[in-house]
Amino acid sequence: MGSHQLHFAVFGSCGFEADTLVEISGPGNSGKSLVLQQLVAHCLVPYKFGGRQWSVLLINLSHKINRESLAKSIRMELKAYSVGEVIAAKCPTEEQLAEIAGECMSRVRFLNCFANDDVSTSLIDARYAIINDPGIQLVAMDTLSEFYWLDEPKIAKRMSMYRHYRLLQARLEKLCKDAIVCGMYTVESAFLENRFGENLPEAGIKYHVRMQKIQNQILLNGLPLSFSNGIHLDTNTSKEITEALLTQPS
Amino acid sequence: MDLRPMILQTCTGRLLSEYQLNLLRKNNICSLIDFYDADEKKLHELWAINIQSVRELKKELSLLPKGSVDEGTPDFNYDTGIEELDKLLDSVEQPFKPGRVWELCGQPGVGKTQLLYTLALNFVWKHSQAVLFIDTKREFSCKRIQDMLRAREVDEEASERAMKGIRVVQAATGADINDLLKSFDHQLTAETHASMQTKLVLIDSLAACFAFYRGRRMRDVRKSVLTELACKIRKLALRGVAFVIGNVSFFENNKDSCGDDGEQNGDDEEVTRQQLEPMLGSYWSSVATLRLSVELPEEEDFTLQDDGLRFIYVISNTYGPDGEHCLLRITDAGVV
Repeated sequence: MGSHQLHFAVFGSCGFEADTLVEISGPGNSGKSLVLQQLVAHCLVPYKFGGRQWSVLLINLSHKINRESLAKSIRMELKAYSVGEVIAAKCPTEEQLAEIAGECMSRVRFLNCFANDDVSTSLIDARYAIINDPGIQLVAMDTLSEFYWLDEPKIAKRMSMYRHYRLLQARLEKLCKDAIVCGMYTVESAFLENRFGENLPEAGIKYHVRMQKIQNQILLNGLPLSFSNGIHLDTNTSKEITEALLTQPS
Repeated sequence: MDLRPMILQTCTGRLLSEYQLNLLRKNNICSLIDFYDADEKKLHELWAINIQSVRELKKELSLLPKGSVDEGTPDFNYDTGIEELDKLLDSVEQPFKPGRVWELCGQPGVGKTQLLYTLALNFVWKHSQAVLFIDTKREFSCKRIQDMLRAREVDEEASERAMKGIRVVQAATGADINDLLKSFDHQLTAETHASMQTKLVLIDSLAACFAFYRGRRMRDVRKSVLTELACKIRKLALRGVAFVIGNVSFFENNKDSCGDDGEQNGDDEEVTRQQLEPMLGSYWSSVATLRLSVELPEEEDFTLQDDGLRFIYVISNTYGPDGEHCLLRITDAGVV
């Protein structure tokens, strides 16, 4: 049931609604992409396994999430739910879980990006894809900060990291609002700092997921995470230890 | 992918004449994003077709399986040919397979190149596939490969075949590597036989290309080159090409102040293994999904005769546990 704890830790007991924007931020190597992957997996699994049975578009810039890793996350979601089955006979077999995971994967479309133009194209493709398939309920993007340094020689004047992030965020937000779907993205925390006091329109982010990495302990909104056998809250780390980590100077 | 062949893959696009297609280029509409951004009314007037057809064409283009779409990396496992290393990789849930992007880190002279040579030779030997060895230090040793083959007591014909399977290319700068990988990608797209047979790319060593990028401006250029390189590597990985990339590590006292250029600071004797930091900065640290560190055994006195023993530590693993290690030995026949 650990993955459901993760979902509840992010969205609360009621989960998130349509037309929601979720931001997952944190320093490099803090688990942002893996958390995104796990949340996407949760949205993909069928209702009877505690999921949402959605179709998902993944705009993939960092390529940390791939079919292999996402399929693995889905299987972990399915297993985590199956463990809770009261009657052992109702637990699906490994073959059945694999088949269900395959069906979930058929509802994911990867829009792989390797250049800034690819991102623009993918956002447009996503709009058409949603029109074509009303089952798509989530557009995920990993990660907004990936291509900031790309095309350096061609750029006469580089925009700030904050502006780069906000412009891309605004495009994703507009897509989600127009199409009435959820948006979820990752971004490196350095991009959130408005160092130059730029005046940009506010974004309607409903859920903020803050990842931290302190002494090799990864925290999600202050809660310790474990990455063994999927991502879940680490109940083995006591509250006192977590508070001590948070109060230590970084 | 060029715009024109993409248009010709759609039902609406196939109805367009050659003249209509040529009008796109004449009006500076050369890429897919140019086409998407073009005003529908303008296209309607340019092509003398109704606006609904323009919209239909845009829709059809958006649904095409483009080159950047996940082509489905082949799902089978290679093995490295090094038994202990394969056991380690299995234990951290990252067996050697198509599309892997790994980094091999270590101090200068610790044996990274020896391990890369061994991976290259084992790969061509076991899988009858070619290897692209990108040599940035201009130090590739054919003699060492021959010595390894001789130590394995293979016949002359097999030895020649193995040597031919390792294709060595020199690249002095990051831009050279980018151009090389771009050319490789184009050849794969064109289904060139030699490129189709190449399934593993080894880079020895990436850090050598960036040793002299100093100053703010040059660091920005370095970040740009590394980002571009990461994109090209990932694109090829999606097509089933595996990468093992050499990088240099240095000791650093304070992890928080580790210089992006990897300059060695502080007193070596005061640091522990955990503070061995690879070069190239924080962005690059997230590119490889598995980072392996080659290290001498801690109790070994470097001034004594080298017995060839090396630890391989998993220092970063995107998809599984890290911290595991194994012990290997550099021998005449390679790393075992």
